[in-house]
Amino acid sequence: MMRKLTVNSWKAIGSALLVTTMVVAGGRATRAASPEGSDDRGGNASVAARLGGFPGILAFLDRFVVPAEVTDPVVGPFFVPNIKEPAGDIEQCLAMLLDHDLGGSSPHFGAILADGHQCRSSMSNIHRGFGIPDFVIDRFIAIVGEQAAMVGVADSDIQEVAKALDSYRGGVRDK
Amino acid sequence: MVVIATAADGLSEGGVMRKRKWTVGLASTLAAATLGVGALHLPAARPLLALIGACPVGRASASEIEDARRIALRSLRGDTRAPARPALSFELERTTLDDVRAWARAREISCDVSRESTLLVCSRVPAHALRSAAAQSIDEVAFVFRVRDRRLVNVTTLTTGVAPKGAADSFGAIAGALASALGRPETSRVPPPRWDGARPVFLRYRYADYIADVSAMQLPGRGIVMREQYMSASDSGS
Repeated sequence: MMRKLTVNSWKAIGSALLVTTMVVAGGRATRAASPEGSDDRGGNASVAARLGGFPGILAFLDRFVVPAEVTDPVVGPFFVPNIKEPAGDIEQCLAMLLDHDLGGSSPHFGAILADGHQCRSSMSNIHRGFGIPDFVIDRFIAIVGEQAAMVGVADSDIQEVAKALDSYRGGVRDK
Repeated sequence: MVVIATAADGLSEGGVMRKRKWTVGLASTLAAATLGVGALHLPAARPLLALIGACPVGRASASEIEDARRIALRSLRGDTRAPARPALSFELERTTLDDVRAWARAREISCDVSRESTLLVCSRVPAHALRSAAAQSIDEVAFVFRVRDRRLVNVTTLTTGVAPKGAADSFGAIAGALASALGRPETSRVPPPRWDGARPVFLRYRYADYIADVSAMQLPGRGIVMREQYMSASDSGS
C-alpha cells in the first residue's frame, strides 16, 4: 500500500497535536510519580495512540529528537540533512515506522513522501555502507529515550519505543 | 605527458587509432556515468535512487555537520550565560585537538581521529583520567572540535552495561558536581532508591553559551546506558 503525504500539512497537524501531546504527556509525568511498576499508560489502547499517532510522533521527532541527535558527536552526522528542512525524509519514515510498530495505522513501509522519497522496508539497504556499530545505535536509542522522558512520556511507553527501535538493530549494525 | 608520448611513439598507426578510440570511449563512459549519478540526485529521481539504495557518497562534510549543529543549538540553548562551563577535564573553546591527543597519549588511551580532524573518539577511558565523577570507566568519549581552529566544542561520554547501583551512584555524583558549579538544573529526574534502570533518569542545564545533559536508562539487551554531554552553545563555539 502506498500513501502520498504532503509535508506541510503533516507539519501543521503535527504542530497542533504536539501541544495536545505535551498536555497529555504532562499529565502522564504527574502520574509517573506513582511507585515503579504501577500502570502509567493511561486509557488509550496502543502506545502509538498515547503518543499522538503519526503526527504526534513526527512532531516529537522533529522538535526534540532530531536537534538532540544532531548535537551528538557520533550520531549527529546521520541527521544533518534533516535539521535543514522541516520534517525530513528520515523523520517522516521513522515516525511512520514507529507509529506502525507501536500499534498505529501508518504503513510499515512504502509510503511516498511529498518530495518523492519512498520509505523503504529494508533496514539493511537503508544503512548499507555506513558500518554503524552497536554503540552508535545505543546512543541513538538513548537520546530518543532521554528526550521522551524529558517531555514526560510514560516510562513503560519509553521502554516500548526503545524495544521497537532496538528490534531493527540487526538490520542497522555493521552494514 | 612524457610517458604517454613515449608509449604512443612505439605504436603503429592502427595501434594509435585503437588507443584514441579507447580513450574517447572511456571518457564518454565516464561523462555519461557522471551525468547519470548527478541526475539520480535530482529531486524527481529520488525514488529511483532510493530503489537502488542510499547515496553511497552522501556523507556530510565537517563544515556541513558544524552548520547543522549550529541550527540545532538555536532550539536547544537557553537565554542566560552559564556561570561556568564544566566539561570533564577539558575547557570548551580552549582545549585543542593536539591537547586532547597529548592527554590520551600520556594515559595510553586509544583514540581515532576522523571527519577532517574534527572528531576524536577514545575508547575505554578511566573515569579518573577525565576527572569524571562516574564510578566506572567510560566505554567511549567523543570530542568534537571547531572546524576553523580545532578547539573543543563538545565532549560526550557513553557507557553501556552499567549495573543499576553503579549507574545510580555515578549519576548522583555527576549531578552533585554539576550542581556545585552551576546550581540547580533546568530539569532533572534522579534515580529513586532501589532504581532498576527501567525508568529513565536525566538532568539538563541550558544556557545561551553552554548545555549539559546527563541521562541513564535501560536499553533492551544492553543494560543501563549512561550518557554525559557537555557542549558550547555559543555562536562562536558551535
